[in-house]
Amino acid sequence: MKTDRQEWAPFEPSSREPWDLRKVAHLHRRAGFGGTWNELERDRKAGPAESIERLLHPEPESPQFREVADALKAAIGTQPETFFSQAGDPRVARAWWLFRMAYGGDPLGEKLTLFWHNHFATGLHGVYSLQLMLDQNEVLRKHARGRFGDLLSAIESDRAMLVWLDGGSNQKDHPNENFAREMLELFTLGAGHFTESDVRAAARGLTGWSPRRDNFFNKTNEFAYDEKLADATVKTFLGQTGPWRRNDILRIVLHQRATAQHLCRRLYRWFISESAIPSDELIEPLAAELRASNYSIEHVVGILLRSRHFFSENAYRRRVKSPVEFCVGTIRQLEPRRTPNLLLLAALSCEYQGQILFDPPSVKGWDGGSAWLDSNGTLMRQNWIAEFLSGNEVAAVPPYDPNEWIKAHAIQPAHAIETFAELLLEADVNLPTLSLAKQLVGKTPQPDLRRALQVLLQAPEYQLA
Amino acid sequence: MACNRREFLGLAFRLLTTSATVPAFLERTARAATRERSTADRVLVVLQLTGGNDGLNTVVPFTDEHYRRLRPKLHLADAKLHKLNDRIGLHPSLGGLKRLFDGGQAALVQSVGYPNPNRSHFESMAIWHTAPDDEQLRQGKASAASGGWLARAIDERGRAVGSLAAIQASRVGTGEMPQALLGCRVPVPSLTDLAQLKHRAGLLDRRAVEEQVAAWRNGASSADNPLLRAAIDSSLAVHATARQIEGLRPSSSRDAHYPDTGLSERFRLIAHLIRAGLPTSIYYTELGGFDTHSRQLFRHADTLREVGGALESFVADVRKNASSRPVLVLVFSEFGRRLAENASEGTDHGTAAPVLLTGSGLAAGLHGPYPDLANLVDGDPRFAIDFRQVYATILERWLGLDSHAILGRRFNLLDVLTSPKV
Repeated sequence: MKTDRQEWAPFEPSSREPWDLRKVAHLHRRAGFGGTWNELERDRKAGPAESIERLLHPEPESPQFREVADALKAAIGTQPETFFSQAGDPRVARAWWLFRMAYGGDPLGEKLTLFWHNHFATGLHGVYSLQLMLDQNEVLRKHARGRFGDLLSAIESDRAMLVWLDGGSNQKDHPNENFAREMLELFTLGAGHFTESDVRAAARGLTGWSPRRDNFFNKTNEFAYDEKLADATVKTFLGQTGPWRRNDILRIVLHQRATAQHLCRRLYRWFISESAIPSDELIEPLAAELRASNYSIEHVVGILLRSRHFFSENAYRRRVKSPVEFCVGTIRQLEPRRTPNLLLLAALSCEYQGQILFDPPSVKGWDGGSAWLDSNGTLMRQNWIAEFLSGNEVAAVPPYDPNEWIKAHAIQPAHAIETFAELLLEADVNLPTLSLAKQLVGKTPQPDLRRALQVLLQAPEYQLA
Repeated sequence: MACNRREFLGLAFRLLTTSATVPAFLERTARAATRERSTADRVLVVLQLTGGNDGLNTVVPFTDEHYRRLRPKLHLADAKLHKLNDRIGLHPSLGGLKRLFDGGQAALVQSVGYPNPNRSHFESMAIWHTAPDDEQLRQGKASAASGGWLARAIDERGRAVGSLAAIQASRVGTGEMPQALLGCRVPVPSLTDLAQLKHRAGLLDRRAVEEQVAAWRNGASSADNPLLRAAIDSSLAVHATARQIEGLRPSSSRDAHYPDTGLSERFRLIAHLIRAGLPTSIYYTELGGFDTHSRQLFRHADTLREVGGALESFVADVRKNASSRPVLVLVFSEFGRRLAENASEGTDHGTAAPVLLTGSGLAAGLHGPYPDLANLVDGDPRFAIDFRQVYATILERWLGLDSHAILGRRFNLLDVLTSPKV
């Protein structure tokens, strides 16, 4: 039995544990949204160190990608908000983010941005402003692999969050505990590591924000922090007594061992496994690294991705693809012709499957894991696969053409279905499913690969990440 | 692959009207039900008000001096309330609910809570969902291991009856499955609209679908990965549900009138499924927006209006169009809100609150003691009725189940349900 510290030692390929397609594909699914055939081929030759380094430190965004992404973002709509309507079309905003995930050069950055969206879950149904949500999304992206302390501070003063959890109307005469409570329970310490009086003390310490008004009656979405409005009286927070204010509260909370442990548990669930709850012994070395690195997310994510544990059976297919991972991954890997509504349909399907970007169900985020596999979610996945392959005439999305992919990658038609099984499932799928797929290809001069693809994409194994 | 800028600009200007279209397949598939019609089966619908509904501004103690004093901005004016007696009135938005009271079809149990109250949304919701035993409640913990209270009820029914139809319970809505329904031996589907229930065969013909399902089933025995197991089970459940839905009778009556709200749409779907002959006896749906820490008055009025309107339409609909299936609706929230308002014109997390029952078989009116606003514990009124008493009463007197087996002990039943044991 290896010690827990050894679990986090870097994986070294050996004759018994070679660096193979299975491991490369696993890395790309977890660090990103699934590898394209070219990426998988490239990284299989490159080895683990170089492949992981490339994910951690990608090339800067190409001007070409940036131009399209920005133009798409601009298309979300920027007309001023009125009392009756909110500016922007959230469906286009969702498609824009899926675009960044599917076609951007920094899949790990987008995966972490999604992680933080789930961690600091903030939703349109309480913020009422798409602009604020998009601004928050950029904050999450900017700090995605940076220092957690910077991110926490940026989120505490983020306008969407100030609206969402009422931090902006937390006044010293009448503290509003909403943000303080969720910060302690969900964002930092985790349940069981604080008392009701800590919640009250944190709420008092975090006062100082107030909404700007454009007239006496109307509060705006702008907030100002004013030292004079902060409660500077002495309070006891997590065992420390003093005239704590905003910076002190955040500093004290970051000093707690429980905060680093809680974050590492969240990262473990996100990158390694949703099927096992890691022991304290397994988490503590990671938490120690997090504290020692002044809460560097990139440092700890690097350890996770390089580790033996990550490339072991403890992690392989031990996560369920979220709807976003499922749809973006399929599009990324199968590289369909890019048509305008493709990503809008994908975003809509994610919504039906239960993942509405910019609008998680509550501040707790999405539960993930087998919660994605309720029968509604599975039905919606299967239906989206059917739509993706057969096309959607109303939305002018043509049927998927597997032959284009085969030609683009110079695959022999006779090996087509085996290659798709490798691309999508590392050929690791139960035998009757694989035989059925092969059988459905048929022997006609123009074999219909799409029916076989439907069987592969609807396979239970494909639902796992 | 090069990016084509024009392609993506097109995104913003195309409205999607596809994919969510309603095929009204129930009407199209005018097939007689093959299953026996379950005429005597009672239906329980649970409506969860997520976020902590402000019980004191829902069921208003309008003569109470403490209420007026501690809610200088948020107290509701007497004149606009729908008065149930000389002390208690319903929120002005709850006209629909008042009419249900007047028709003898609604009852309120006041001051419902539990000892050692937890003010965390998630913990308190988990407590309501799992109905933990006394020891767990003393520790302030929900019980994750034993499954939800409705899941246990479904399994208990299975033990009593011997076998269970495929769809014992349905959740209507999106997002995570409520914990109350997690952990039972039969899968619980989650639905958002009827069109969605339709399984698209895609490019596969019937025979290929059968072979596909056989392949999944074949993998089930050897799957030692619990998540793979869950994926297989879910795929099989989808297939079984699709089959069952194809067998439903078409709806016989025209749709009843409902307000144009999301909650009403969910209740309309529940009524439709009941009428179409789905054997499901437990439905679960949720409405959010009750976490009113700030600017509460307008938001709360809107959400309560949505609740009252949906309930009034639903009760009328099932009474008229599904008279062979008596329906009871349970409405709860994870906690009430603090008596004293905060400075943001809102209220913070509290404890005990009223529980609403509406539908058939009720002793209409007010039950349980009035909240005692003069004697607060940590700023909140003390609970008087244990929420597990409400559950026990419903389990025994509505679903005809042994509540002891489900809740782990006996509770004093409430006299809110008049109907005898089924």
